[in-house]
Parts: sequence; structure tokens; C-alpha cells
Amino acid sequence: MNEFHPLAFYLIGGAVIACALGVVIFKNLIYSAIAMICCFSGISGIYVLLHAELLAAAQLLIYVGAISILILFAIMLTRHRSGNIDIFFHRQSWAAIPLVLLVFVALAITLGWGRYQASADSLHAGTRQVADVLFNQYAFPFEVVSLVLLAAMIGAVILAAKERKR
Amino acid sequence: MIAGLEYLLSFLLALVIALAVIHVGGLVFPYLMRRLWGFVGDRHGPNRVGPFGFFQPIADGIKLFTKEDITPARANRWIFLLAPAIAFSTPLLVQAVIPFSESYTIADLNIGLVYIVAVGAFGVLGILLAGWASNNKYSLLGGLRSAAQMISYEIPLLLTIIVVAMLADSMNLGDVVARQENVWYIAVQPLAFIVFLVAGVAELNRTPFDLPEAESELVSGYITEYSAMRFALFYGLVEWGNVTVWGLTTATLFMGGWRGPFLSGPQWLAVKVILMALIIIWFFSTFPRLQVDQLMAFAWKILIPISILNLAATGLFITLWPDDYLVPTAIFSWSAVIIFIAAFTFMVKKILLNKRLGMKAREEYEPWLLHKPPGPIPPRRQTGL
Repeated sequence: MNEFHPLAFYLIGGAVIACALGVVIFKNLIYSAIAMICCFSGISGIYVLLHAELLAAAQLLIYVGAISILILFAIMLTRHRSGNIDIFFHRQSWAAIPLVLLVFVALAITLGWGRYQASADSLHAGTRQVADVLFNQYAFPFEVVSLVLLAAMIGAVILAAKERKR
Repeated sequence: MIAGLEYLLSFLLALVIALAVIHVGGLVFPYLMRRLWGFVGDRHGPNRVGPFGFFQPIADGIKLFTKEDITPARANRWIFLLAPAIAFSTPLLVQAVIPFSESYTIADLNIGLVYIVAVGAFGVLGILLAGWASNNKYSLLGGLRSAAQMISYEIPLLLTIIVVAMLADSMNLGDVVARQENVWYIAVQPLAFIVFLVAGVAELNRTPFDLPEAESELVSGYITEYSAMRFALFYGLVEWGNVTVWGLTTATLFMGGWRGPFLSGPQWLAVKVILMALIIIWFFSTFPRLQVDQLMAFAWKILIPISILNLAATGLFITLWPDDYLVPTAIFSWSAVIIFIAAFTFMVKKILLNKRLGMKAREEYEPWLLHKPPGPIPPRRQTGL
């Protein structure tokens, strides 16, 4: 179904941009979180269009399934009242506009005139290739990362447990 | 243009099939549950509408359609309306990768097993948002509990799914079914099946893990404020649709999917799904509900260690005997199941028969039952969420 790809891409891409704008524009934290979830889901849709299904599923699993739900949890447990809340970090918007423009120009130059080794075909890698690279070529960094994550997890448990003892 | 039309038509057909599966599950299984629940409790159950009360779900549906649909005044209207739709997407999306017969799979993804777990995230999301948007403490607590529970039990579920992927040497559900041509994985890996069953029942928020809607403490949990058809959508279609889809997944992973003699693929799948739903109804009518701390302890201290052990052992056997790993895996798994069941029975028996332990617990929590002068009420045990 190649003929549908540009249309699907522009639809999903537009939705992703709209949702990303929503994340910073909404004054209700929950709305922002929902917009962020839509944004993540849309990015996973773009991965699907690139035939990177494993990446798409991992994106859904980790960002929507874990991180967003954690964020929602944190918001719901820390806010006493639902509804609108004062947003105190919205004051820097005047500084944000030139910064964002700068980043946009930098990105546009990089993407427009840069040269890349990677092509759409290299994204096409299946699970087997990903596993091969991850567990053979980069086995040591992989183990180091898992160790760091384990240490972080134990640290979090210890911090939380200390809090409860009081 | 013709290709595009064909594509659109096949998409619509897939949507209709998926919706039909959810609706049939959402109509038939609540009726079945109420009948069998009545049978277990020595009552009649719904038996007035039609033969054997078979039209009861239709009568209920008409009733729920005509009732007033209430949105609480202080609720967050948009999210309140959106949440059931988000939750509904899980049973709809999971069906995309299930092979219904030899030739019919909606989307034959190579990473079907990961996909099933990934789209499960939307179910948690819908419940969490429903709980929050209702602006009701019971709903919020129910939603949070449900999310915590579903995230905890997703880990053993994922670990057992990895075991299946290792056995089948593929994450494509069609391949998983094809590899079960000679022997079902329930016979090779009963331990993984039991973990999958228990974790799945917890994922579905069914008894004995139905704390998110524990009526004695949380009214109806996250569906407290939902009424009329929106209630039916949540309670009937989402929950029982999830049961149906979970049955489809279990059948595909452990019971040979659409394979079976005499009947066609979809028919065999239906038989297996009904079997799984009957197991859930059986749990529902016999088990009492767990406490929250027991629930979390069970996931983290029992299910996850068992599934990690199972994963490691399966990996070891596949490495040691790359050609015929099924036999040693089956021997390991069956003996582990027997040992665990024996240990569990022994423990439960010991706890139930230990009068001293029972009396001590009563002394601590219900001193008035032992005809003692009631002292100060003991502080309640800390139970977390």
C-alpha cells in the first residue's frame, strides 16, 4: 500500500505536532499528559510507516505503557484537586520563542543538508538483527546499562522506604 | 484506486469482525457468568427472559440504552466521555494479530507478542483516566489501584510470553500456532500457563484480584460514576471484551490457537475462549478477594521469581538441547508445577489448621469476638495503595 504512505505520514505527523504543541499549551496538567500520550502514539505510528514494527511496539510499551502512566500516577497522587491549576513555569514563554526558533533552524539545516549513513532500509531491521547487535556487538554496554538501571531501582526503593519509616 | 478500495474494504471487514467478537463476548459471557454463579450459589440466576433466560443480556442492553446517561456536574466532562473509548481500544487492537484460521490474520506482524502487551497500555490508561475524571474519591482510588495492579502483573505476564517466544523461536503468532502442531505449549510449559493464567486474571481485574472494584470498600471503583450505556460499555464490553480477547491470546499461545480436529479454526478458537471464560467464572464464584498488600506481595514475591526461574530454566534447556528441548522443558515444568502445588497446599493447610495463628490474629483484630473486654482499637496494618 505504498500509495497511502505520504497521506498517512502527513496525517500522523500533523497530529504529532498538534499534540506536542498541546503538551506545552494546555494549562491542565492532565490534558498535557494526554496530549503527550497521543504524541508518543503518533510517533509509534510513524515507526510503523517506516516498517520498524519492533521500535513501534517498544515505543508504545515503554512510553505509553510505562512512562506516561507513571507521570499520570504522579500527577493524580500529588494534586489534591482536579481541574485547573496555576502553572508557574509558563512565564518564560518570551525566552522560549527565540530558543525554539534557533533549534528549529539548526534542525532544518542538519536535516536538509546533512549526509547520513543510515537509510530507511537500515530501519527495516527485524528483531533478529536488533538482538544480534544488542547481545553480541554491544553486549558489554548493554550489561552496564542494566546494572545502572538496577542500581537506580534499588536506590529508588531505599529512598521510598526511608520516607515511609517516619 | 481499486487497490485502495480493496484495502479499505478489508480494513472495514476486520473492524466488523473484531467488534463482533467483542460484542458477542460482552453479551454471552455476563449471562453465562450470572447463570453459573447462580448455579454455584444454589440460586436460579436470570431465567425469565426467553428460554433459560437467554435473552436477558438483550433485555439488559435495551434497559441500559434507555436509561439516563449522567455525567457528574464536577466531573471533567471530556476525559469522562473519552475514557471508556480509550479502554475499549485494547480488546479491539489485540485482535489484529490473532490468527483466526490458517489464512485469516488481520495484520500478520512479526512482533505480535510484543504488540499484544504494548496495546494493553491503553486499557490501563482508560481506567486511570476514568477514575480521575469522575472526580470521586472511590473512582480515583479504584483507578489508581487498578493501574498499580495491572503494571505489577504485566511483568510476570511479559516474562511468560518471552518463554513462549523462546519455545516457538518466533514472536509471530502465526508461527507460534504453527509450532504447536504436534504438542500444545500447555503440555510443554504448564508452569508458564499457570503464571499466565493468574497474571491474566489480575490484568483483567477479575476475582480474586478485583480490588479496583471492591464493592465493600470502593463502591464500584472506577465505574462508580458511569451510568446507562456508558456503564454497559465499561462493564460489559470492555471488561468482558478483554476476557474474550485474553481467552483468544491464551488459546493462541498455549492451546494451539485455531488448530484442532473436525471443527474449523474460528470454531475451535471459540471453544477455547469459552473454556477460558469458564475458568474465570469458576474463579469468580469460588475465591474470596485478596487484600491489597497480599496482592502486591503475590506479584512481586511469588509470581515474578517463579517466572524468572522458568525463563532461565527454559533458556538453559534450549541451549543444552537445541534440537529437542521440548522434553526436558516439559519434565522441568511439570515437576515444578507439582512441587509448587504441593508446597502451596501444605502452606494453606498449615495456616488454616493452625489454631494458634488464627486465634492470635483474632485477638489482634477482633478481640470482642473472643469475649474479652474490648481494649483500645488496634491500629490498622499499613496497606499501601
